[in-house]
Amino acid sequence: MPPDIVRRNHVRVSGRGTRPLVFAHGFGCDQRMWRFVAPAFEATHKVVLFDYVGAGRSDAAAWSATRYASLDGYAADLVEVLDALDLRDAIVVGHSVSAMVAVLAASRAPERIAALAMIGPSPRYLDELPDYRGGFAADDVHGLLAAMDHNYLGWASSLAPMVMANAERPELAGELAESFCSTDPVMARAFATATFLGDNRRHLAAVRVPTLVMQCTDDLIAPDFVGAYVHERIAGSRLVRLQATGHCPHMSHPTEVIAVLSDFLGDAAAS
Amino acid sequence: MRVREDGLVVAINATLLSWTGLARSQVVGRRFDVLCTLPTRILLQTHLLPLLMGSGRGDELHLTLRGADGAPLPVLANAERRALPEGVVIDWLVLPMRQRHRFEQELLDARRAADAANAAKSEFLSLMSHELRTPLNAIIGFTRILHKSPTVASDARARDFLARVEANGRHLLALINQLLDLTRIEAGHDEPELAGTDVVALVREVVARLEGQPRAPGVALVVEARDGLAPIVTDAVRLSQVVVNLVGNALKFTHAGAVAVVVVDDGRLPVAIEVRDTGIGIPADRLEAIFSPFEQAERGTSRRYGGTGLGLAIARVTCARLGMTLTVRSTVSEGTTFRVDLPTSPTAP
Repeated sequence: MPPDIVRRNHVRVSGRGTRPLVFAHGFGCDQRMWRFVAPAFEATHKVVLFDYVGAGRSDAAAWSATRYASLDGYAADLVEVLDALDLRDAIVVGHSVSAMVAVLAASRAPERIAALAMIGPSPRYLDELPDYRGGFAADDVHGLLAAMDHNYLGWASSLAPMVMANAERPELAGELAESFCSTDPVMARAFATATFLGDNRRHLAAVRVPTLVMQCTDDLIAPDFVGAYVHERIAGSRLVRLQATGHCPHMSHPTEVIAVLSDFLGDAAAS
Repeated sequence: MRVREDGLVVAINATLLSWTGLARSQVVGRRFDVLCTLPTRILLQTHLLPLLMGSGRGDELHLTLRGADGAPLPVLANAERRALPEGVVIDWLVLPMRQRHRFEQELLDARRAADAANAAKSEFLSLMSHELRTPLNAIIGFTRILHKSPTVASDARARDFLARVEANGRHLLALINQLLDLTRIEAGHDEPELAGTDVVALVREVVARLEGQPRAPGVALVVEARDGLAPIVTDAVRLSQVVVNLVGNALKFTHAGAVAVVVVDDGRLPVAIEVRDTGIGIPADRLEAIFSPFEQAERGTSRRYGGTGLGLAIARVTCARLGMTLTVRSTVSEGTTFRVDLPTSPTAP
């Protein structure tokens, strides 16, 4: 496999199965978000983890302001990772904005993606009242971007590496000595812009593959209305409302996510 | 403030409550995000909570609450995850930091202004250099043509004046070209072209080129290097420029003895290039200043020895761009050694 893409996106492959299961992280942290979920599928799948350029341990030198100004750039990353590993019929698990990145990737490379599993997807974060309630007013999002511009310390230093002891999960201590959420403010701002100002609703109808929509309880980033909307627009999709609250159930409630995802994978394999 | 793992507030103290202007019943039992501004909510959901869930604690987190007066209230928070008999909770310790936040903002603004001013300066320099070069090339060009005119050829005084005009024009052109180089490198507009490079061959070639340069009688120019070293990945053209500059300087400031160019190696790879001279030396308190643009060790040096005062500044930023470090050690009246430490990895610049 071409080492440049593997290095660029810090691609990691594990697992004893043959069916590729690709985990795509959302805006915020990196592939280490999946560490409570991904290992559960190593016995049955070929598990692929990667970081978008600009996140985690990706090659920051490969970042470009134009390419990553819209979700197309992130979709290109995903397709290039699939190409580099020559994966076919992959199931892509996308968190948050990555659910939409996977939708874009599936229309570009239909032979490579056979199913989509979405966690807290949102095709449009801004409200388009009265018909669409994304959860954010335009002012909110501009406030967020301005905060990222003017409040460099608030973003960057909050995420500075911390060495921490974790009595509950001591096995994580080494891994987390380096913060997995540390973010370059410029790159994070570009990702935030592409995420929160984009409108990807029109792409939903084009999805032809089996799709799972996982909707959390009390998710402030992707509210219930949005999950239901995604489910309605993707023909034949399955909507599962999780008990898990918040926006990162794969971190906070991994057991439930694993169970729902396993169920979907079983059906996807059978179909 | 104590928050359950699912984000619901279990307890909040009166002080924190008073900052938010909310009643206890409006907070306890609800998600603690209600206390925060929207950007902070997003930061929490996408960055901080995953971090907390993974790591168990967060220190000096910058958050913005919705203040009682409606204005955003910047706070500093420490969070710690605890496993209690009744379940996992996150305890938050929150301190207001309006004042500190304002200082930070002022510092950031000042830094942004300074960066912008520096960029504007570089832009101006590069523009001016272009503007200056065009008339200067005309001056030098027409001076050369005048040299060939029969009237000038027969007039020794005129020939001498014209030669001075041309020499000064060339000096000025060299100065402007170097200024342009410096601004280009500082602006990061020069991508190094990396390739496997035989450092010893490069040094020998540079020295061969400089053999003909004027120097004091009896000053030797020698290369000390071991053959058969592995190549390193770097930009050969830029590295040559650095070595030319260092050797050229050494020859200029050495009146007796020798200039030695030494390739230091670890048995397999070249690790440094040293240019050692037995010249006039540099006083200790001037050692760093010589790398600043337009500095030479002593005022007046330029008049005696010529040069633009930009060579070492360019050499140093070039080295930095190539992942190398340029250092100097010197003893007055005994000599000076410039050392370029080469990148340690054979594959990366």
